[in-house]
Amino acid sequence: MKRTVLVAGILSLIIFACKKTNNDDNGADGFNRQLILINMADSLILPSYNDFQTKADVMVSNIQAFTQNPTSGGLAQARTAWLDAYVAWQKIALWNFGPAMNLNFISHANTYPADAVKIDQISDGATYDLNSPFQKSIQGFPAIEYLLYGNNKTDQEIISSFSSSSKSLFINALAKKINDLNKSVLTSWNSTYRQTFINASGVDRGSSLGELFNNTYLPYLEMHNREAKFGIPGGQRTGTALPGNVEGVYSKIHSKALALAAFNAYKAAWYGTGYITSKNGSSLNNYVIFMDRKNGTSIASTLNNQFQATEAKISALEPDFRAIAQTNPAKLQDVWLAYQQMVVTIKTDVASALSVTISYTDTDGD
Amino acid sequence: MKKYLEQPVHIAPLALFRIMFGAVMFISVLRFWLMGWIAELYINPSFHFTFYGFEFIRPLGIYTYLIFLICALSALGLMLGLKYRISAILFFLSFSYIELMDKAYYLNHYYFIAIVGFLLIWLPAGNFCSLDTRFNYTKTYTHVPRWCVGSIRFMLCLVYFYAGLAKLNTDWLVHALPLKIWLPSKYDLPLIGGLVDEIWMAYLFSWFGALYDLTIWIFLLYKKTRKFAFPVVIIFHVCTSIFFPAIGMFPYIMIIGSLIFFDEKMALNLLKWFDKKKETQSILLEKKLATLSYILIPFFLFQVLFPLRFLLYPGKLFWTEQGYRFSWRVMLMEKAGIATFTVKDLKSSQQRIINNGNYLNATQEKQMSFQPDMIVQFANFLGNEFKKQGFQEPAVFVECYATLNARSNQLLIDPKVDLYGKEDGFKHKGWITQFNHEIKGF
Repeated sequence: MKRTVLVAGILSLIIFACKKTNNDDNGADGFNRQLILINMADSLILPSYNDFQTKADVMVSNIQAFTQNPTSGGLAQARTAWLDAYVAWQKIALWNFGPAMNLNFISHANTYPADAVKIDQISDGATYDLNSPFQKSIQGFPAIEYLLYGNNKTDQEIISSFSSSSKSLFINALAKKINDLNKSVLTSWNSTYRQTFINASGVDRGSSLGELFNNTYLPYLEMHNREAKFGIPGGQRTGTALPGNVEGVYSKIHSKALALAAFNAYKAAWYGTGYITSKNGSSLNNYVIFMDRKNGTSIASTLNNQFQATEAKISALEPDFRAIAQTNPAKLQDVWLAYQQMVVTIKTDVASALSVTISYTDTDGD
Repeated sequence: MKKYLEQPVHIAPLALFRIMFGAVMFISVLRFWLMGWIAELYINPSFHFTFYGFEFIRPLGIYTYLIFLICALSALGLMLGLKYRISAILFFLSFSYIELMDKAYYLNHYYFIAIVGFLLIWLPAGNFCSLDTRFNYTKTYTHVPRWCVGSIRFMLCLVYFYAGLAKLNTDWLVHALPLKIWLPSKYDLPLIGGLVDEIWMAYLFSWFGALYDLTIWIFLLYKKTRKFAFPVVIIFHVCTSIFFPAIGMFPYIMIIGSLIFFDEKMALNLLKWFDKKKETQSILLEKKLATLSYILIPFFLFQVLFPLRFLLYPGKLFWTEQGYRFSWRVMLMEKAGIATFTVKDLKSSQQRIINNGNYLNATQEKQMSFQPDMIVQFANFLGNEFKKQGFQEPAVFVECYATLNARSNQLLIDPKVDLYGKEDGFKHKGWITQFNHEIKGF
């Protein structure tokens, strides 16, 4: 008898606790993590893919128009469309998980430096395969850039080079490839992945916060912003600057715009800033603030300062990174260091506070 | 005392433990294999963190699978009681080899398993309810000297006790750390998910956990409390497994471990599932106390003292981790770090900043980034690598920031110290920084 009472007591306590969960989602104590995922999916990720789709469509049609009738006006329009799409790309590149990762979108769209020698051969009629994992450096935005700008060529030289039909076919194929990839990614998000994403709770491997943390917030920041845009061309790790490795090397004046777009997209992802609304929604920053309050720490404000420092460093650069890498690579290394400060905070304090799973093998918590 | 230790007790708990231990080990190895971890953790990485004094134990390329195969088969041998002694020896050797290959994957329960493997070599666990007795490879005994069953009991008690002792510090008891950080991340659990943000939950879990470790073995030892204690063991470890799935097989190992505390009747009841044959009483008497005196007693003395070695080091244990391993410190702290290495050639003033990912996998990099002994190993590896690549006088520096239990990150290693040529070992590592905070207690 006594035991039955006890069991009933425990059960009702559990049910009570359960009920409390459901009602208390926005309560003072709790913090609704799912709202982060909903905000990320609906206010940031999907709008950014949609926007990129629009710009990629324009790029496809402008390049087609230009190759059908190579004029200087057409070239200007193709270049504008390329730049618009490339800047928009910087705002989706960071979603390097799920559908985008499955298709390896990031290396199809933005492997640089482009392989100029191979691209010249293809323009002269050599065969190629855009799906091959070994031909990433003949495609994407850097390859299109090379075709539209050339290496120290006059506009007239560029325009007349498109009388070659293999070159025209190739640049159209490149634009179409990017466009196709985004269409597939968008289709996945619209059909099932959005739901999968907002339902994958927790912070373990396979959870959406885990995916964001282990793809967007860390390796993307390290590899695609810190290293690719600044560290490698600035020669941070090797001591040897590689001016040919900057992003936007052939157009010369757009490196900074691209780097800033990528920085701002990353910052928006941190603060949950809506792509269209520009308003901050539920975000990882809120989660960190919530844990800050619990632990008596100030990680969120530390990181905020580091964001500002990094932004200031990038803003102070001249637009042509190749020139900087040639004359004063230390300036690029400075940005690397600013990004590195952010990486330190995120990899230590933030990772700890959120208890995100970084490795996937068994641990006993040391 | 001698008489007490030699007193015959029923072998059933030991045989039951042997069967379940073998089974769980077989499953563990199989799980490891099927997860693809053999290749991922041991074959693919180009660098491994060896243990001090065991540097010769390294993965053997494709033959690493063979070690795992031996381990799995010998676990099966233990379970079935087939060629028991050989199985126990092979299991101990193969399992220890696996665990010594790379300390990045060190887990306390792996150490516990190796210890049990060692003990089983000396214990007559295969003389009851085994294929060896069925095929008459060996005699059946129903009773063995008390120390045979007692050895494993003692080891388990020691593990629990030290695990509990390790929790008696201000972070765990006063600040409910690291559970205060870990629990909120379990917000999506059914039923209790809504409570994980409550601070009292962290305190409840911390205090109950410490109390459990410090006392459960006492309740398991006494017959009167045993039948209540065993369900508590199961519930406790199942709960830890739900809350912290990353601890893997640990809860199950502790659950089957506590089977050794069963008395004759309970153990025999369970053994009926495996072997219905009624055994006539036969007592193993000639089992020499010498094994106990010359092997097990020194071994246990070591087990009692080794976890206390941290007392000999200056600095905060959680920060320096000098004396942290092999001491039953489980789920004690939340630590994360980042280690950026710079290799300089003092002759040519060339320098390289290292991308750790070129040499280490995610687990290795994560573990290394806050454990000084691994950092110095990796630094020496890098120095040697660059010497091969033409650096005449390599020097290796690290900028390593770490955070411990939600305190903001600080330098872990003196960034001005050239780590190349610095030895890993039992000596105090003077180049570890002072921890800026106070943690009192064990």
